[in-house]
Amino acid sequence: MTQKTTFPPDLLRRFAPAPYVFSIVHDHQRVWIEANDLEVALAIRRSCMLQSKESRTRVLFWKLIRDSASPRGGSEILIFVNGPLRALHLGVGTIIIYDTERSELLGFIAHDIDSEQLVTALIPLLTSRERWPKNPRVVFTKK
Amino acid sequence: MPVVLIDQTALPHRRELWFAGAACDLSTNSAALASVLEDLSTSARDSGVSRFSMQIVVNEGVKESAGSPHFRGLHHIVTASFGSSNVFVFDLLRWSLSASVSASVAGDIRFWKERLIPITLGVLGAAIGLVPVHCACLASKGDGLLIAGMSGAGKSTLSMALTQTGFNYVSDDWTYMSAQGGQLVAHGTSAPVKLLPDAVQHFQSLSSHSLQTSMNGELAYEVDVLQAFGASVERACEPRWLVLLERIQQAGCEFARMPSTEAQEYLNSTVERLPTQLPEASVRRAQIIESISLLPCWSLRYGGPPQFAAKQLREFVACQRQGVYV
Repeated sequence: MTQKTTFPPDLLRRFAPAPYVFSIVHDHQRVWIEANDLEVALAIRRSCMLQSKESRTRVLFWKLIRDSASPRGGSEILIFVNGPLRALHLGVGTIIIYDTERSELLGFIAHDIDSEQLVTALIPLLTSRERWPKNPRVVFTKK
Repeated sequence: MPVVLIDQTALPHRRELWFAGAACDLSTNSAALASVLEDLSTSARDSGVSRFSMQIVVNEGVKESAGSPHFRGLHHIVTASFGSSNVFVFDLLRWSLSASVSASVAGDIRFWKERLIPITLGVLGAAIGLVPVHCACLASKGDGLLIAGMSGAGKSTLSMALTQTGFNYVSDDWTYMSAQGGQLVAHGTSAPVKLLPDAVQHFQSLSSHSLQTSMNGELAYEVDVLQAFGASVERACEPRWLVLLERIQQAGCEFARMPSTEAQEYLNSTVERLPTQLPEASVRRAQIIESISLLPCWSLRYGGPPQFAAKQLREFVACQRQGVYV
């Protein structure tokens, strides 16, 4: 071999460390939160604890990675739903996936999205269908 | 704000397609895209169990062409975007790909042939039993020769030189391995051959092509093997030998038998880690890698022009067939 073999680099950032971990029990449900950004982890925890029983999301596992290496640019939001998966793309650097069947919310957050915007504006677009615009500039819809 | 809701009943154009021996159930709202992908589907129908689905919505109002690729993954989800209008979500537990693309990308056959289909097989492969292995594959009389080696070891240049000695081309960089009825099968894809700039010293025909920036940012020739080299292409074969390539400074060729444990260790070191959410994929992949390492394995250290090494390999394979080296 021309050089010593090593594991290929984690180009997808699948194994990015998420050292800020919270486990909370709210209304008899255990919710697990992992993030690599303390501000994001705290914002998610706060929003989970403040939710009333009626408005509570069904997300039981959160993993959010602040992605400083993401490309910059774009401000358009694309929400994409297929069966149990809901995906939100903001520009080219932020992608959040909500797997409704597995009650998991996974995402990479671009550097310019603050935790407040994430929790109050972006995540609700995925977790509550009521937040979807009444007359969106729909590219294709049939439901 | 665009909201894309995919409903199976609203994607009327459906096809069963075949890529690298895997069946793909396509649903889309675009007749043009269905036609493009149908053209890329292989005609061979395999009895393998690998199957995945693709649901692709084409946004006819958007003309944005494919931008720079951006990949991310967590747990069972992998995403790929090529600009803000071309978004792909791979689900490795449900073996599916959902996508929203612009009309320009939908009609861009090179995008699907050279990028998206190989990417899809690379991402979903381990989950569906079609394991991507970082090696080239050539075939002679139906027998497959796998050539592994680190990036830059010369797999592609040697592969092209081998096609000029009568080997058929299957793949030059990534080979997709499946086990069908206990038999190992190596599949190629529609990806172009990627050759580094110095390959032009060995292959005059490359001088009529221009260098391009490939997906990993390297400057390289990315050419169709049939057009650029006139090589015969074989879609699949049964691998018989594994050769681990190493470039050396001095001219010459040295073959040495390699223990299967060493080959297995090498192959395992080249595959990407899979998340714990995919235990079945990890097991399936480990089984296929073990099967590959049980093939007769050799290391090949070579220096000098690839045509010289190709000649030596051709003789080596002929001797292997006669049992000379066994």
